[in-house]
Amino acid sequence: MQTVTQAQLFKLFALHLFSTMIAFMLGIMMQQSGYNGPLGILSGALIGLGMAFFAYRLGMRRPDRFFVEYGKEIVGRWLHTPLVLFIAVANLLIGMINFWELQDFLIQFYLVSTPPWAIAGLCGICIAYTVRFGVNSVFRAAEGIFLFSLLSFLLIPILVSESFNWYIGVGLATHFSPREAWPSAYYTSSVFGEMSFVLFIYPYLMQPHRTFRSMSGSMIVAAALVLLHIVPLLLIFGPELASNLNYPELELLRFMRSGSFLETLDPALIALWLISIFVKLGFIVFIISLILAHLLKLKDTKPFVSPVTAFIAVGSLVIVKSNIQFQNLMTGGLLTLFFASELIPILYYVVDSLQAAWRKKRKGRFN
Amino acid sequence: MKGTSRETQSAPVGACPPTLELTPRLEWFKERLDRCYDAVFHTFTIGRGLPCVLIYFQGMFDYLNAEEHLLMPLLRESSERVDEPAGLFDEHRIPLARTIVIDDPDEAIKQVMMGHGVLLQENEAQMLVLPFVSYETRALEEAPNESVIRGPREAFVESLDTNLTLLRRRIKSPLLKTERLTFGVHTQTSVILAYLEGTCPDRLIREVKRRLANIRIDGVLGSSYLEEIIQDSPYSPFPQLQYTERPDTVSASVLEGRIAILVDNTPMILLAPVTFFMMLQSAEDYYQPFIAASWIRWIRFIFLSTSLLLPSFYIAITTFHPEMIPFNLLISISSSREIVPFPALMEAAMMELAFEALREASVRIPKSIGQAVSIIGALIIGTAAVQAGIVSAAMVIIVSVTGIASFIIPNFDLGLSFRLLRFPMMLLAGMFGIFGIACGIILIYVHLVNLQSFGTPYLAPVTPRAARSLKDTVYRAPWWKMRTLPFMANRTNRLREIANMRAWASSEGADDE
Repeated sequence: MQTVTQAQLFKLFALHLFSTMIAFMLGIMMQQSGYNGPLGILSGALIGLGMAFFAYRLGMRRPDRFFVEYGKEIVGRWLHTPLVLFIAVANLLIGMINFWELQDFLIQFYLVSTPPWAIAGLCGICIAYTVRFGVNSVFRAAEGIFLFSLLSFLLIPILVSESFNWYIGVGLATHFSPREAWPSAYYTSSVFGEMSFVLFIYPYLMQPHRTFRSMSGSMIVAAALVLLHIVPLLLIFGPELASNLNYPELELLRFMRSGSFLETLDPALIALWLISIFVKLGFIVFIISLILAHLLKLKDTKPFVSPVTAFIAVGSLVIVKSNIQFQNLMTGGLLTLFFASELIPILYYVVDSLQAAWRKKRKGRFN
Repeated sequence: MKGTSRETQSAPVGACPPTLELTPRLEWFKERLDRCYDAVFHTFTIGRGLPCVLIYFQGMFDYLNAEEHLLMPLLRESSERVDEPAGLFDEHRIPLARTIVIDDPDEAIKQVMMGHGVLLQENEAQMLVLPFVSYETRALEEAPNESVIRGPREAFVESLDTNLTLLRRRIKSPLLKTERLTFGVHTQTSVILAYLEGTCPDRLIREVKRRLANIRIDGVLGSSYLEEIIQDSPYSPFPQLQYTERPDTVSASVLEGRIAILVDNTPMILLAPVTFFMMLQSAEDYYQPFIAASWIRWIRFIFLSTSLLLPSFYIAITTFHPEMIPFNLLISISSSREIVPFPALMEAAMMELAFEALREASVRIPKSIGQAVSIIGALIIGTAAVQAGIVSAAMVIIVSVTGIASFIIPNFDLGLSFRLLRFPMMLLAGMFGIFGIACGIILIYVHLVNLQSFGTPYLAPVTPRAARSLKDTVYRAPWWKMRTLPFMANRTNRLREIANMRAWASSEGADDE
C-alpha cells in the first residue's frame, strides 16, 4: 500500500500549487491587491500551510487508515458522509474551474476556432488516462516532469528581465497595506489549503511522519515561483495594466523574445505547462474518485475515474459562459466554498482531540 | 518445469515392449522413426556375440568421433577378450567422459532428435546416450547490428553451447548459474537462464521461471517467441525485454543483476528487466572516455525527442503558431510551401510513409541493388517531388533529420516504437497544434510511467527516482565513481567496487615528499 514517497508528494504538491496559480490566477490577484499581491501571496501561502498542518496532524493519528473510512468514528456517520461529499463537490468545482480556465486560455490565444468540447474531450482523455492507473501513476507522473516544469517556470523571469521597469520597484517597496493584500491572501490560501487533501491519501504515503516537511517544501517552492512571476509582471506592466489582462502571464511570455532562433517560445512553454496542469487535475480527479469509492465501500478507484473526468469536462463547458461570469464567480462565494472544504479537517481534528481528552479524563476517573 | 516434461507428440505408436531383448526394442525404435530417411540404426556385436545397436541421425551426430572413441576400442577389446560376457554397463568400460545412461525409451528418442547417439544392448534395459553432436554452425563474427569502435568484436551465433561459452569466458565465477529449460513440442528448443547468484534478485528469477512455466507451444524458433509471451504489457508499442547480440553487453547486464535468456538457434539474447534508459545505452558508452560517452548519451536524448516530435512541431508551428518562426525563416518556409497543394499534415504524412517504405525496401531487397534503390528513392524521387511541387524542400529536410534521428536510438525496437508513435503525434499536431502535441506527450509519458518490465518501472531510475542509479543514466560516470550496482540488483549485494580506487592520485605527492 505504501508506495508514494515523500519526494513524490513534495513534487506533486509543488506542481499542484504553482502551475495553475501562475498560469491563470495572477490577473485576479493583481486586480485585487495591486502592489500588495506579493505580500498577499506570502501570507496566503502561510495560511494555507497552517490549514494543511491540521490535516497532517489528524492523518498522523491513523496513518494506516483512510480518512473516509475512519472519519465517521470521529463525527458520526450522519455528519461524516455529507462533509466528505462536500469536499468531493468542492474538488469537482476546483476541477471544473481549472478545466474552464484551460479551455478559455487555449481558445483565446491558440485554438481560436476550435470547439470547446473538442479541447475538453482531449484534456479529459489525458487526465482520465493518467488517473486510471491509480495513485502511483499520478505521483510518478509529477515526479518525472517536476524538474522540466520547474526549469521552464524559472526561465521566464530570467528571459524577460531585460524589460523590467525598475522605477516601478519603488512602488513595490513602499506599498504595504495588509488590507489590500488580504483578498490575494484569501485567494492564495484557498489554493495552498488544497494541500489539506493529503488527509485522503495517508495510507499510500511512505514515511508519513515527514509529510509536513514535504508540504512545507512544496509551499516554499511554489510561493517563491509565484513571487518570481508576479514581481516581473508588476515591473513590466505595472498593477493597472496587469490587472486588466485576462492572462497576464501569457502576455509576459509573449514579451519574451528568444533571439533569432524562435520569435516567441510561448507555445512550447505552454505545452510544458499543460502537462503540469493535467497532473494537477489528475490529482483532483483521483481524490474525488477515492472519496466516492470509499463511500461506496469499493477498493478500486478505477470505476469512478472516467465518469468523474467526464463530469468535470462537461461541467466545465457549462459552468460559466464568459470571462466576466468567471470573474464574478471567483470573487463571489466560490472561494469561500473551497476554503470551507479545506477547513473541514480542522473540525475533525478538534473533535478528535476533544474526544481523546474526554476519554483520557474518563479513564483517569475510573482509575 | 512443466514445459520440459511434456512428451513429444508422435504417430500413434504403442509403448516400448517391456523386454530386455534387443530385437523388439529395435523394432519399436524403427517404428517411431519410420519414414525418417536420415535415421541410422547401426548394429554390431561385442564380446561373445552380444548384439548392440547405435541409433542416430545422419548429419547431426559425429559418427566418426563415436567410431574412433567408442566403437573401435570396444570391438578391439571384444576380439582380445572374447570369452568375457560383460556388457557395456557392467563396469566403466566406455572410454568416454561425457556419457549419460537412461532407461526411458521416449527420452532416448528425444536424445536422438537432439543429435545425440543412443546405444542399446541385448539383455540390458539401460541405454547409453553419446552426446557427439556435430552439425554446421556459423563461425563467430562481428556484431552486425551493434558494432563498436573500441570494444570487443565477437557476437553471439546460433549455437547455444557456443553462446554459453562466450558468456562463461567473460564471467569466470561459479556464481554464474545457467539453468536449462526446453520449449516447443516439436522443436524441443533449449533455453538457458543465466544469472549471477546473489546479485540477481531471487524474486526476478522466480518471476521469469513462473512466466516461462506457462508456455505450451509447438515450436520456438527465436527468442521473440518467448519475449511476446512473457512481457508484462503485450499491447504496448514499447519493448519490455532487451535483446542483444553482444556477449559483453549480456555479461555486463548479468553482473548488474539482470537475467539473460539464451535461446538455441538464435543469436539474439534476451535481457530482463529493461528500462527505457537502458535502451538508450550502447556498449560503446563503456569503452569510450566517460566525458565523450556522456555527451553522446545526451545527443541520443535530444535526437530521441527529435525523432518523435520534429514533424509534429513542424506541422503545429506552420499550421497553428507561425508567430514562433522568425520572420525571414517564415518567408522562406512560406515561399517553399506556396506551390504545395497539400496541408502540412498531409505533406508530412506522405513523406514519412515514403521514408518508411524506403527504409523497409532497403532492408528487404538484395544488397546488390539496395544502394541503387536508396539513391533513387532518397535523391531522385525526393528532388523530383520538390521540383514538381508535391512536397516542400523544408519538409524534405524535416523528414530526413527525423529519419536520421530515429536511427540514433541504439535499440532498434525502441526506435521502431517512436517511428510508429510519430504518426498519431502528427495527427494530433495537425488537429490541435502544440496543445495536441502536449496531449500526445502526456499520453505516452503516462503510459511509460505505468509500464513495467518484470516488476521494474520502465522509467526508473528517473521516476520513481533512484538517485544512485542516475550516474549511469543521464550521464556515464567514470568507473571509479560507479561504486554501486544499479537499482535492479539485489539490495544486499550492490557494492561493485571499493571506495577511492584513485587513492594513488592523492598519495603520489606524499610519496614524492
